[in-house]
Amino acid sequence: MGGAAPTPTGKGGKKPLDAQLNLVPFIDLLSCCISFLLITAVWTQLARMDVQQKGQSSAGATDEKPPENVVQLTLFIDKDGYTFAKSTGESTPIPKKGEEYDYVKLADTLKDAKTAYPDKNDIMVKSDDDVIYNNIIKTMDVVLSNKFPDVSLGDKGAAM
Amino acid sequence: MSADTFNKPKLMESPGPRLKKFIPLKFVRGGAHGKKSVYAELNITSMVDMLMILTVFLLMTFSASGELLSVQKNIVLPEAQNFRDLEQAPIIAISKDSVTLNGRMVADATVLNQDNTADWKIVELHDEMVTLKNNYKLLHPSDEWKGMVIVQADKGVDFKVVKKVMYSCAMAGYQNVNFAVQQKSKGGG
Repeated sequence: MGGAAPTPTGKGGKKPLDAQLNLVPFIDLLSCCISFLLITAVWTQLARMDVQQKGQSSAGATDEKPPENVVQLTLFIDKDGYTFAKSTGESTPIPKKGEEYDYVKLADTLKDAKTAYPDKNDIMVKSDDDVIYNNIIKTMDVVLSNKFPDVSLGDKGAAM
Repeated sequence: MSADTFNKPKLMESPGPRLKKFIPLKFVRGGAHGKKSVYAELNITSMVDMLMILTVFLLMTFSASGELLSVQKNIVLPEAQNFRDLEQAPIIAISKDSVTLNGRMVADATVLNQDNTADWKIVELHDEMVTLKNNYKLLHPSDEWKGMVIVQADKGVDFKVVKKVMYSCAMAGYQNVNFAVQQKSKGGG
């Protein structure tokens, strides 16, 4: 790319040093690129959230029991709010803030749990039947944001 | 040739100065200037700039995987900040009225919501998914079975319906359930 200086002809006389690029093929190429990209563009930005299923019997599931000395973290969701429970017996209720779930307090509780158990990556979310799906996704988003990548979702009524 | 032949108007003739000679200004008459070039050049630099910016923007938003998931009209997906890229998998759509598998209705969501029986299995969905699984294993014998399914549920549905769908998937051998979400930037509210 770039302009090349004209070659001396040897016949004398000054020739202009200005060289002009032919931009027409470049514009053609850009037009083709734009057409292709516009046709193949995906405007809706969709993604997926990975969930593990626990507390439900299934054909391919293994019946491995968790080790006794490992603390299990469980987050219960119902229409009144959250209850964060540990298998050691401690439980922290996080009631609703007005009509909305208290995501800030949930995040703080999860941060504390992560500080207490830094190697812990899994958490079980158990929901009531009448909880709206949007609230479950928001809750799971908060859980994932607080460095618990292995989120399992189950029914509140199912056994742990 | 007679003189009339020369005076006769021709069909086509080059245009000469018309009004200019009647204007009593010297510079308008233009007698002192030479001929101007009729060759006009467009300045296309700004156009190339614009095309470049457009190309860069489209390349940044380009998705190599294409449109794997199309949202149904009656489904509003929830938003999430923590997500993964979509993959090719069977799609179960749950709206407030119906449950569909790859676009085919398999259950009525209203009935599922009202049903309080202990059996969570949605028979038609389960059977269809088992067929899909068997077909996949038959067509891809060397591939590892991931058991992935994408659940695309409306954000207003109850967990009860989602739970039944998840249970039916698990019973059919689809352990890896993924919820379709709309991407939400981490900076935005």
